[in-house]
Amino acid sequence: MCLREVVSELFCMSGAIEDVARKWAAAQPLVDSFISLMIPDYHDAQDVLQEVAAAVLSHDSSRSVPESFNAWVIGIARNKAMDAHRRRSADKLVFDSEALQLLADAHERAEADQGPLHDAMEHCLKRLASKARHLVEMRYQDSLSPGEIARTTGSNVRAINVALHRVRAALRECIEMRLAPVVDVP
Amino acid sequence: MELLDKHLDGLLDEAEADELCRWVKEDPRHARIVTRAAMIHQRLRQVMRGRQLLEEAASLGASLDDAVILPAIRLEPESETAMEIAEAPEGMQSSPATPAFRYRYWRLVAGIALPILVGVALWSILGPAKPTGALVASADAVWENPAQAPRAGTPLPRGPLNLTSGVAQMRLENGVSLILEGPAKLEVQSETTVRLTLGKLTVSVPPNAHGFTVETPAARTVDLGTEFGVLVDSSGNTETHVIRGTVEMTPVAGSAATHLTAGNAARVGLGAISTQKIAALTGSFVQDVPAIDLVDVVSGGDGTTRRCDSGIDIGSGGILPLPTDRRAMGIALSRDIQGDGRFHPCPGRTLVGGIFIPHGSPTPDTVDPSGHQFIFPTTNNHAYNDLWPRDLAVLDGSRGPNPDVIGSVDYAGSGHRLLLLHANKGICFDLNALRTAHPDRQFSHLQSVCVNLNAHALRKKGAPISDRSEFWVFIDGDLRSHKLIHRTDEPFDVDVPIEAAAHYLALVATDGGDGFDWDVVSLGDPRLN
Repeated sequence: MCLREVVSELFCMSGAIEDVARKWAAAQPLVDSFISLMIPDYHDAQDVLQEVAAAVLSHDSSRSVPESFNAWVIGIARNKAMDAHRRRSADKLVFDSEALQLLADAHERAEADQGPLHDAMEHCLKRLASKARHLVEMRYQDSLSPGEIARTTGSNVRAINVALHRVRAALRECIEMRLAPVVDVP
Repeated sequence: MELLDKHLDGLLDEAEADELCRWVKEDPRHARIVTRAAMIHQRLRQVMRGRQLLEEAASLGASLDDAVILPAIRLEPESETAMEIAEAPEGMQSSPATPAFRYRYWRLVAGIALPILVGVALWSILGPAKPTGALVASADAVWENPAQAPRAGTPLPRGPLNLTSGVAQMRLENGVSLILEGPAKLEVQSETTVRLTLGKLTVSVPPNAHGFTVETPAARTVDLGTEFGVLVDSSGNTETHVIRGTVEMTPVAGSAATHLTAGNAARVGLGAISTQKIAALTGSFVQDVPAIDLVDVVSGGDGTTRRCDSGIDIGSGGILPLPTDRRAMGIALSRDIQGDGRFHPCPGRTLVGGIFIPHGSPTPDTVDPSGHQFIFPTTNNHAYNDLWPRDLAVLDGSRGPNPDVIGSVDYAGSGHRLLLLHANKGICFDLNALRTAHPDRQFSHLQSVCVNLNAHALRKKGAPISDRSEFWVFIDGDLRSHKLIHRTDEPFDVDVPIEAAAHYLALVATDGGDGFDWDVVSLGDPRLN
């Protein structure tokens, strides 16, 4: 079902729908991240994300939403991702149900406010030297594979992969420094 | 672990997959680490693809569709899709050791994860992120070490900048503007942090650089949106005054941050833990380095005297006083001058290189005293009206109400200047002479607003419609900027860099090839900054 149809069907929006929509918009990065752990392929993962969005937004608002919104949507995501994986591949998932539960819990508790991470990412991306930034742009904006990047820059795939790993490491280090440390819950 | 990295690229084999799974289950912290890395990767992807989902969430209602629809927007399907489907069975039939997702590797997967272990710092491989920025203007600036002084148009030198007196404006690559008033000591540490140990600094921060920080011996001030000034006295005591927006000021010795909004100020003594509110004096911070006003130059001034009382005869280069009576005004407003194909110096104006009426193709026109030439598109070889430092039609009242409003600024109003380059005409400014006239000032840009002012003019019945006009900027004969203007186009910004060794700046308006009626190419506040 096309997502637009789902939303326009709900167009006489009650306050409850707005509430769900707002919570969904905030939870979306968490769900996106969780799905990508189950389904690494970007486009397949986005398909699943759409399905989850549709399910969440077409939820009958007269029935109450479960206590924890995040737990609920991640649960939906897990099921949809499981279905999608079964449709596409005979192999088992990388993470078994126990590991998935741990990851689901961790995502559920992940920071609700994505602002700081977003700002940190923007900031750290700006701090990249121009060559590094160019590399990131080629990989994520132009969506070139490492092989294609290698060909474009006259380098070899191995060097590109190493460079990408290092950019990511540096970005992560920069982001960690800007954000408050993850508090260890015993 | 690099395993997570490989997993998000779809490159894990079965043994590696088991290992990763085991690792996650080993310790609850591992799950958190994986989650963190996955979220960062998701954010990187999102930032890079420009999806601002959270901003959509902030304004629901009309944008509800966006917040929900965006994930449905796919990137352009890759052309490899067909190939991928063909390869899928192959991938699936491969031995158990080959992961199902490996066949997708060559496909444009945006999944990466940041390695759990902190890797080798990137800067050592691809170079550290150097603070980049340049001096854009200065007024009477005296630097302690002239050899190390920043120069207009060149990148800022590394290390501390010691300004003995005067004002200097610098702009960083991220758009942050820093105006330093001496005596002052400033060190630009990065695009996001500067250290001010003495003096006054006015900071203007564009939205993409929020979080910009000024560190002083006593306190740290973080920008939360737009414009503020920081003052450090000789003892290291620090004041912050907010001109626009919000900042957060935190004493170095303490940890409590104080929010300051526009029109408010606070002070932290050196070594103090607390911040005290003080009376704001935002007017004491320089917010604009004085520029060289080109209209004043046309009028006979040196760029700083705010004159607008005489013009230049576009046929001969002679000086023309502003018309004082209706008859003279009427004559001036109807002047139609035929070009003679020559570049004319202006003896009465040492700072003006000269003027000319471009005739265009097939022969070249000379655009400056050096003799540089350019072949313009064919014009009608006529200039309408001479070159005046004001809109005479406004003086005369014949242009109607609010005619000189460009954007939201009335350029006929006080504090602003308007240069009308009704096609076809060109004026050349002598940059060397301007530098000689202002030895303590530097400029590195031509800035202005430009538009065809006659957007709302009525067309006389039967008169030809001249919709097109063209605006050109030359530096030493080299074309640096060009715009084809349609009569009803919106105003646009002109911002042309000027290198330190440039000699002549030429501004030219031509008629676009369809006659010069209504081709009132106008420059609002044309200046050198």
